[in-house]
Amino acid sequence: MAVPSVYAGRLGASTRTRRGTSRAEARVWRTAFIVGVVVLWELLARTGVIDERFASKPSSIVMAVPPLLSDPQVLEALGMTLYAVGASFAIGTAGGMLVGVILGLQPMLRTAYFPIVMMLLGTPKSLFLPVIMLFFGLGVESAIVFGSILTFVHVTVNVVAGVDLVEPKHLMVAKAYRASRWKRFRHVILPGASPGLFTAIWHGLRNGFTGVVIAQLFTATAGIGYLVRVYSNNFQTDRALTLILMVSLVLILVGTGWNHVEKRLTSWRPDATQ
Amino acid sequence: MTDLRVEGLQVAYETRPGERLVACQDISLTVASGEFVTIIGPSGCGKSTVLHCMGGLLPPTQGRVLFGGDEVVQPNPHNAAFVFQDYSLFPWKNILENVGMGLTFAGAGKTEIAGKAAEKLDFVGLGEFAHALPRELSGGMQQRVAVARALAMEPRVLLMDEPFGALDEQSRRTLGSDMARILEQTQRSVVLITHSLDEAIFWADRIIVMSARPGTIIEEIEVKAPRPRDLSMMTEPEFQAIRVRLFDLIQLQQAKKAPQPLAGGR
Repeated sequence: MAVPSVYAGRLGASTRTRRGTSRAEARVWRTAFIVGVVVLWELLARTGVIDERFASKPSSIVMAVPPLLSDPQVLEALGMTLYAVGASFAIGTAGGMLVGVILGLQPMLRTAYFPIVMMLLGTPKSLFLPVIMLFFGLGVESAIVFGSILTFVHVTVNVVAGVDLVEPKHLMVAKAYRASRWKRFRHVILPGASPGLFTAIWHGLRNGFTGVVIAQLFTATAGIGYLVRVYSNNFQTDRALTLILMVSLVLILVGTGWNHVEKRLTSWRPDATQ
Repeated sequence: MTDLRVEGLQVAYETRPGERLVACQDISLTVASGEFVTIIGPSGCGKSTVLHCMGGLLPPTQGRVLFGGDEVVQPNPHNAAFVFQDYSLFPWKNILENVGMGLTFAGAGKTEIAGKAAEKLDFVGLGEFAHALPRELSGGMQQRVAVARALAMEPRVLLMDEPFGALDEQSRRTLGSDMARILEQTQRSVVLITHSLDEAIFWADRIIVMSARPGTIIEEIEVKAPRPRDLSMMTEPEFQAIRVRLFDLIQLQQAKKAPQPLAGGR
């Protein structure tokens, strides 16, 4: 089964164990690396080899967590970002699923329009940000629009790739047993494409988040991205880095959780048992 | 009584503009009620194409297919149900659900599906695997599930497209004799495509031999051996005689299709 190249960046794919490598061993090496980086950073900052004002240090970052979490401005920013991400995800995923399924199932429409989506995928979409700002202003709307576009593009591409995974032999059975369009979709296309749909949702969420944060970084007057910008400009590197780490952590947790959900729901796949 | 009649069937594809590939032509045959017909021919002779047309999966370019007097224009699994070469079970459904999928697709009610699926799964001897997933079963067992799925439709004809093609020799034999029992009990007409000489003879009331592409019928051979048959049939003189005849016909066709050997001294 040819797996489309869009799967290359799939979360978790690289953590799947290769034959002969123990997962536990890999985990030890990974932890050692992270601990090593943290310790080295701390040492370099304390001995003054790197300038603490710009690079901060791990202990300051940890110390910055409690005050940040009780800062109403931060909480508001978090809420704002979550709202924008949620809206982007909902809009982009709904649109992307619909368009992806249609393009995946209709060869003519696919030939006509899929290149546009692929072109969008390849373009650095941040270039559109100034234009989006012109239309939607400096508020949360621009972040939502930008996040939705990113989500939409990634969801569409992965859904189309997912529909490609549907095996012709299964469609043949549906035809031979005279399945209605709906039954064909419900029992053959949807489950057959589900690996792609799961990837689509994950990429949609991740890119929606990226889009919102980038938009806030450059344009907004509220949100996590905006705060990171403010903190950096004021040399509050520890606060900025703390925010970045917190956001990364949340994304990693969501991604891991999603991976588990996916594995449970697609346990029929031969590689799901690994 | 005739269940299925094919009249002057031709199927041609346009491979690229202006280029036509004739898969098969002048195919006329009948399948009587309760008859077991095997179709054998060299690979690429269009025998699967003929089967697909018989079941309404593929529209003929010329000619027509009649089922009990009515022209077949689309699949009707209650008349003719397919068993495909690669089992084509749905990996995300358990075995029982897979057996019921034909009925589900065809729009049967829930209680009917549940009842018939369980019955047919027992019939093919796999009742204990009802809640297993396809990947937990061997190829031979999966093919029995696919047969159960077709039988659940209670079709008048079973159309089997190289049903043992993906199995190794040993499994083919075992599954073969199991299947012989199963299909004899159902008393249905069967059309079975194969490229195995032994299978073609073992199963058949009548063997239809096709030529290399464009596929046409070059011979029909009746097999008179009594039923139920078992593997010992393969040692009978009649079996051997037919086998030699088929070998001749098919080998001949293969040789004709194969590129001519290079003449020496070029």
